[in-house]
Amino acid sequence: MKKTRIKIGIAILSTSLALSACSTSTDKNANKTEPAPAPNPSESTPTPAEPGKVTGTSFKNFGTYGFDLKNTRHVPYKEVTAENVKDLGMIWSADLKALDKDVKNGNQCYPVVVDGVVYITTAGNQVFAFDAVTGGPIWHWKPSAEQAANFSKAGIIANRGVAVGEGKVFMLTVDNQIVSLDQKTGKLVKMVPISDSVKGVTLENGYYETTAPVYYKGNIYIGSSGGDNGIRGFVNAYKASDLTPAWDTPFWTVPPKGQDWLANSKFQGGGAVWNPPAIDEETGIMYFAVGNPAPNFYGESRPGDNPYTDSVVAVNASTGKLIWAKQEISHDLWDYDAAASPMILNATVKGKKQKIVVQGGKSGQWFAWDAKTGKVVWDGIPFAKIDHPKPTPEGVTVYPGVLGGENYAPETYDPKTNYVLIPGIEQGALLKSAKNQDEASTPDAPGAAAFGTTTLAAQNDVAFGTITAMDVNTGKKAYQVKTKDPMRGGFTSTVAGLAFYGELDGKINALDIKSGKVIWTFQTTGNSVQAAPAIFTVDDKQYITFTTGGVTPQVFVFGLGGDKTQGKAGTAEDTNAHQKK
Amino acid sequence: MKFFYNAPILLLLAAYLAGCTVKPPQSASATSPLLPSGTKHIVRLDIDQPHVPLKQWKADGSHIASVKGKLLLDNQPVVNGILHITNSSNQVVTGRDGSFRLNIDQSLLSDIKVNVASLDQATVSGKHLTEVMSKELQAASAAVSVYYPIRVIRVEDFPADASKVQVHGQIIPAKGDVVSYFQVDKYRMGGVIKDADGKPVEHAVVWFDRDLGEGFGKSTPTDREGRYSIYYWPEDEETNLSVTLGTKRYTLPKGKVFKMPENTSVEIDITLPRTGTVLVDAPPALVSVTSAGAMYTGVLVGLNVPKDVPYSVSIPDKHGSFILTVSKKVWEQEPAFFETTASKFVEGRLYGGDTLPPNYIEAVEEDPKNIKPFM
Repeated sequence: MKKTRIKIGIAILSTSLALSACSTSTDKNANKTEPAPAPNPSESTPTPAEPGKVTGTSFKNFGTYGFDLKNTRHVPYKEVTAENVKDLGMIWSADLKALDKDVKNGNQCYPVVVDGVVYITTAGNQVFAFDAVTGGPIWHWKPSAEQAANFSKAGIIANRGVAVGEGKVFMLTVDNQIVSLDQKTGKLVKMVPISDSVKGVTLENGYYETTAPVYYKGNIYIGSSGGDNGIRGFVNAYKASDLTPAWDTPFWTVPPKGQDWLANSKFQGGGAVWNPPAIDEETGIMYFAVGNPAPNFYGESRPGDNPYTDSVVAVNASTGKLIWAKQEISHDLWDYDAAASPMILNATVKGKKQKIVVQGGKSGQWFAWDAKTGKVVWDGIPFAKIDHPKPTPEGVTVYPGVLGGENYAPETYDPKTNYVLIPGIEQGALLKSAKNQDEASTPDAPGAAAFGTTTLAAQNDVAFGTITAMDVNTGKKAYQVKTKDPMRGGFTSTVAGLAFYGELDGKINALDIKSGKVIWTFQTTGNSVQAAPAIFTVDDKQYITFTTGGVTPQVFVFGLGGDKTQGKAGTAEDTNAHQKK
Repeated sequence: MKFFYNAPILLLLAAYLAGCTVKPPQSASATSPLLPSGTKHIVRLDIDQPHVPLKQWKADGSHIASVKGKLLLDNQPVVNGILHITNSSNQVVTGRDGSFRLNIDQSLLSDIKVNVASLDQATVSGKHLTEVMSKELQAASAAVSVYYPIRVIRVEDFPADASKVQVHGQIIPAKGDVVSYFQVDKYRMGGVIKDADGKPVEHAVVWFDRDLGEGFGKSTPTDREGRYSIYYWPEDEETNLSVTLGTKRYTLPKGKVFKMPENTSVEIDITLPRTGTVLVDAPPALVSVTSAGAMYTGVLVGLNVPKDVPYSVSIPDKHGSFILTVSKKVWEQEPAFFETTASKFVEGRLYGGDTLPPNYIEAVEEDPKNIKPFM
């Protein structure tokens, strides 16, 4: 036994030393923090609806993140066709900052529409309910100024939307709280810290929340963000009634530090679950995609495949028990999360009907597995440039870069063509690895949950996007369309054979799924579209709603006969690592 | 400190309950309750495996153990009883034979308690329960503990004090398992936030973040002395430093970043400006010095004795070996051990085998704390 107390010398660092190294900030966050131009409320604020009353008597909904729990994003509404899509115009829009000055820049919310009410969230966790036909604000909820100030600096303050169930609207906040609101009034029913049930899930420990929850059979299901921040990723289920845990234990996506493949690691394992699960109501099996291991680009201290990172995992939705897990990238050194939500399809595969689960990774590869067994159906079909040598301390350029491949943007599935549409990003990255584990952390810091390295954009590399139509029957690309900007929002398709998607310059487009031709494009006044639309009907009229980000976040509803006045092209705002997943 | 006993729990109720009102069972006549009042009901809430050795996380999910139990009243199964499990609202319902199952994460130290939550739909021998029976059943509890077994290798007199003994013990992980014992985990960014008059500012939060990469650090809110802490993993990096106070956010001058020193804790004292929200980036408004200490995290063992019973214990070394020093009198009472994953800021440096100050750690509610060592 020894008693040791080694004193660390206290070195005075003059502030001139500490701050003489001050340099010009890259200022990439400027678009997040600069005040927006003063909006004119009279132009953008519709007449308030009477609370509890909405326009219309019959409603067909877009009731959850992925339209259905399978996340197919394919709606049966057929009023809008290839022939009349040119008559689409804006029915209404709302400038969210005009409604509340504390709305943050940027928006990645996927609207949910239930019984004539559009529910959206904003960056910084405000929730709005609008009359879907008139745009009349029904209610609005915002966190207290103190709470909002508390999380305004966390890694990503985007929010991907709500779940609706049991007369309540559910959202996760940046600072790791589950919020339930009264669906009719927007009044807070309950706000519960996740750390009450999963110890240590706090901003101080690097956890935050961006994902939309999903409601299913009395429970809401949540993932966790912060994998690049060195957290231990998990999925958990909560009772919608009182927000208490519904599983005996969370499903952890990586081992505890010090166990299994982290036995000799100085780091936590990562494995965030960025986006909502897909749930098969017939079998009660739930599928979710797991992010990259930590540290991102240095793998010496985490030997082996690093399960379940970069994987799709199937669990029993009522218990959280593992059914199967399939990994897309073993021993990831390139930040190749399985980020987007998986999708469950009843598709024709190799000439036969089969229920499969599909997911496109940031690796630029697309996968399909048998939904029941996890048996591989299509194994990593490339849809992007793939060239990723092992990162070195000197730096290597890799494709895809850290934005993917396919990032958080969801795919859609059209049963008629049997195509899955994949939103792709073509952009390399220069990766530099740490020389050793000590550099990736700090000497004598066996537990540091560091992120270790920085990323730089690849030189002379112009980013663009792609739409890949994957023929599920053959596992071959039916076509690939190049888009000006990376595909960040994802798709929503209709039974009329159209797929709607937005672009980073604020355009909303319709693609003819069979031919791959863009047959309608509309320049909105929004700066940038970074989420897919929701499509719904009220009194049998079809509407398309979506959010836009940038410095003037807005929500739009389009329909046949709407206003065709177009806006000016926005600027792609996508290079910031803080916006990346 | 509470002592927790594991199943089976036997509740022998005395005759004083005999005077309670007896609710007539719905399916029996009002005059013939299920069991005559005045007798002692025997309640058993049994867990088949109340002590579960910690088993490391496995990719095949085998670290999730299914633990069985049974709820009996006078040796008859209680059917449709609803049990409450610590930290979960998942209802566990007893089956026709009174049995139930719960899933336990065997890879984490834990003490999971099981209580009877509701007996509204419960029956025994096909009959509903009397109020007395329900009360007796609802008083029952049991627990499942997950921990590393502890072995006592030898006990010897403490040379410096004849009233004490030194217990040489060892944590026994499963073969091939690695245990993350108490060791340096993070460094601390700490300091004091003052207002322009030099008075400490309470409830301020300090943030670090980087333009490249998603990592960030968030401090505890400043206390009455204006002190904050961030347990962080510094690199040689340029960070955005800001302070939030209520809804106000103070930032460095435009274009300036804070250069974080590497491999050390650091004190950063900040004086907020009288007007505006731009921090003055020069002394005395902003002073940065490296400082000693680090946050330690990992598995420690302790003795489950009341707070006022002194003892000291060493940090387990890489073999899990530790030395406990305690009075002979206490040791002869065969106290149980607890295990905990502790996180503490330590001013100096500590290594496996170093002795911690007396009564340095306490078990928290979910820690296993009824660990009986084997010899």
